Amino acid sequence: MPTPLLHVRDLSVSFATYQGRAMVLDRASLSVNRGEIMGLVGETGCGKSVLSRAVLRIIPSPPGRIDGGEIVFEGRDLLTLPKKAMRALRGDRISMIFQEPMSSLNPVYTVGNQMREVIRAHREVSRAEAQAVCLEMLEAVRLPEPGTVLAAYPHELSGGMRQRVMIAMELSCRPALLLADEPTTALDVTVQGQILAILAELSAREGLSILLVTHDMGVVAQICSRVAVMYAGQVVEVADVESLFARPAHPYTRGLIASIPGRAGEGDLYAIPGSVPSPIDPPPGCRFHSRCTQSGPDCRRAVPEMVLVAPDHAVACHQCPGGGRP
Amino acid sequence: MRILAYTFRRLLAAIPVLLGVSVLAFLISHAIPGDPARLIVGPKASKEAVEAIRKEHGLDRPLPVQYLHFLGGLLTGDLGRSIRNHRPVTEDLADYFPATLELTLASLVLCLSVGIPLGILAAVRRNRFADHAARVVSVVGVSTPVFWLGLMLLLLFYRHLSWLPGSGRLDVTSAPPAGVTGLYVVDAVLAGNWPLLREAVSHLILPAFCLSYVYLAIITRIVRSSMIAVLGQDYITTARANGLSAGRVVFKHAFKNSLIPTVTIVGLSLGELLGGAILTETIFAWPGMGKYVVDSVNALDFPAIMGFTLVASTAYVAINLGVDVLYAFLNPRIRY
Ligand SMILES: Nc1ncnc2c1ncn2[C@@H]1O[C@H](COP(=O)(O)OP(=O)(O)OP(=O)(O)O)[C@@H](O)[C@H]1O
Ligand code: SF4
Ligand SMILES: [Mg+2]
Repeated sequence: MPTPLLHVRDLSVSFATYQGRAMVLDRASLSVNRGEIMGLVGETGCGKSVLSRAVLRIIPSPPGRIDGGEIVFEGRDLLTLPKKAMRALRGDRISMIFQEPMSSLNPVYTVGNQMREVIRAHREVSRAEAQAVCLEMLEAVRLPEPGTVLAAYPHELSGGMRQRVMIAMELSCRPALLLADEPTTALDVTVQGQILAILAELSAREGLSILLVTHDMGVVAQICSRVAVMYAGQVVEVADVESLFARPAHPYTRGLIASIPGRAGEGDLYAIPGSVPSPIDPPPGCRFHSRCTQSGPDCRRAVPEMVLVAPDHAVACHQCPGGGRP
Repeated sequence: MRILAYTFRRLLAAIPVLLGVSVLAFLISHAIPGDPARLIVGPKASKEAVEAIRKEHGLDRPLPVQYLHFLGGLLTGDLGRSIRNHRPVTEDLADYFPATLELTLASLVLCLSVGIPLGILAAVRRNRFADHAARVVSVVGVSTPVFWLGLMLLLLFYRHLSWLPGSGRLDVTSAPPAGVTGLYVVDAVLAGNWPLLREAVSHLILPAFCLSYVYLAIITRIVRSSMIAVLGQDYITTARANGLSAGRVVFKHAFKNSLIPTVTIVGLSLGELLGGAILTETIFAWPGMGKYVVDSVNALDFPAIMGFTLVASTAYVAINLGVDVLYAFLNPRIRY
């Protein structure tokens, strides 16, 4: 077993809303091993972004609140870390890139200004040394004319270029973990492929771990080694990519895989019937039971625990008898 | 530098605007009903006397000729003589304009030095005590009539507490500092005359506060709301996710962006401060342009009215230019 770099255990997060407290993450658990790309999938609103932001503790608070759990990174629980130590980790050991490359960079400063600032926030280096690191990073993400890019303002670059700049900026301090929240969703298909290729290459070359949030099971199949499936604020299945696609255990995962275009056959798009329960006052038992074709009497009463159905394949479902805790 | 070239182009573009302003100023002051010549010589004077005055002021010539004459004078810094007191209008303006400018600038400094920090504080501590306090300050500011505020200030700080003087730019017994700029505060500093500086500043405080309060309130609200909007932007999340300190996030990443809408409002406020000083000047017996204009209009003193219009419009044009340049400087997305 490889040692996990990041271990999120029973993480619960809630938000204050006008309708009441929304339990957006409910005892979600997953781990990311060193050097691997871990996929995180699930329908919109299931809590993928909240989970990845919680790792950096940048959930807006209020209204957000981390109600419990542990986030162990390199042996330390981030949730008990003093603010200052947490800030030192951000952008240095753990970095994050976001969905919208158009708005993730500050429009009134040049790319160089923003990149150097991150480096110098974490390293005692001169401006010139920081500049050299910037150039090197921009080359690593295969941006032509890195000098010109550094002098440019974000609006002078295309979306794909900006996302490369973001990647270069976030990797400039050589983090151990990159949280990538749908980094290619806003981009053209061809650019998507290039960005994913760069991430896969950097992960392989530098031993960088990536938690890749995505909607796209195709992306997962392409570049992830393991994957976690979320449903309504809970992680319901974690497995290596091969077993997940070959033997999906959770009924929700099966639906998800059946709804991949081209899998259902005859060009018919399969969609899981029903809709996601509200995080305010969620249903008791398994949160999927109102939509599940397999649900039995237990499903309404008890929350299913994660159990191992195979080595490195855990699932939380009453109908999947497994062998012990993961 | 791109900004310098841009400024230069904008300066060139201001020339036709100012020419247009001169035409308008000229036409408006000649469209005032009533015969200024008759007003000067009085209702009982003979027709010949009126004609003589008309000739003296060039009023008998065709309008375009009068305008060209006026423009010619303008280019050599001659705005004609006041009908009312027979002094060159430029001399009158040199006396009164600096007083208004000093009052306006002092108000602006107050607006910015209080309004911006208060707005930022309210945004960062949103819905907490500081935010509520700033809101009270703003609502009171926007809803208090200037004349009432002025009278209350006088009553409290001048009459009851005697902390501050209540009228004029200096004590009646003091002589103004040797004038370079006509702004007493600046001139006193240049002359190294510290007691006089103290005196000039203490005379400025009440009228400047009175004049600025409404704008201070507006600027506080604008800074707060634009700051809140900016703090919700993705690049702020990026900055926080990069481990930057709260201070850097607010003062580097959010502040410059939030200034973009603020600058527009400050420019508009400055224009209104310049034009809106009449009430304040009256309450505090401030010898500025406000009183001068009212007197000129009453006397149909058209050279004086034209002079004032020109100075005021030039100030507006200059402020606009400044705002545009600042805007371009703050916002690299502006194409220039
Ligand atoms: N600031 C907030 N205030 C209130 N609720 C929030 C806030 N941020 C997120 N939520 C709620 O948390 C839930 C999960 O949101 P999240 O953004 O993590 O979903 P997601 O899985 O990333 O979805 P998507 O695929 O659309 O990005 C949603 O129901 C959302 O309404
Ligand atoms: S626990 Fe029951 S309801 Fe939930 S997924 Fe499994 S079978 Fe369906
Ligand atoms: Mg999301």
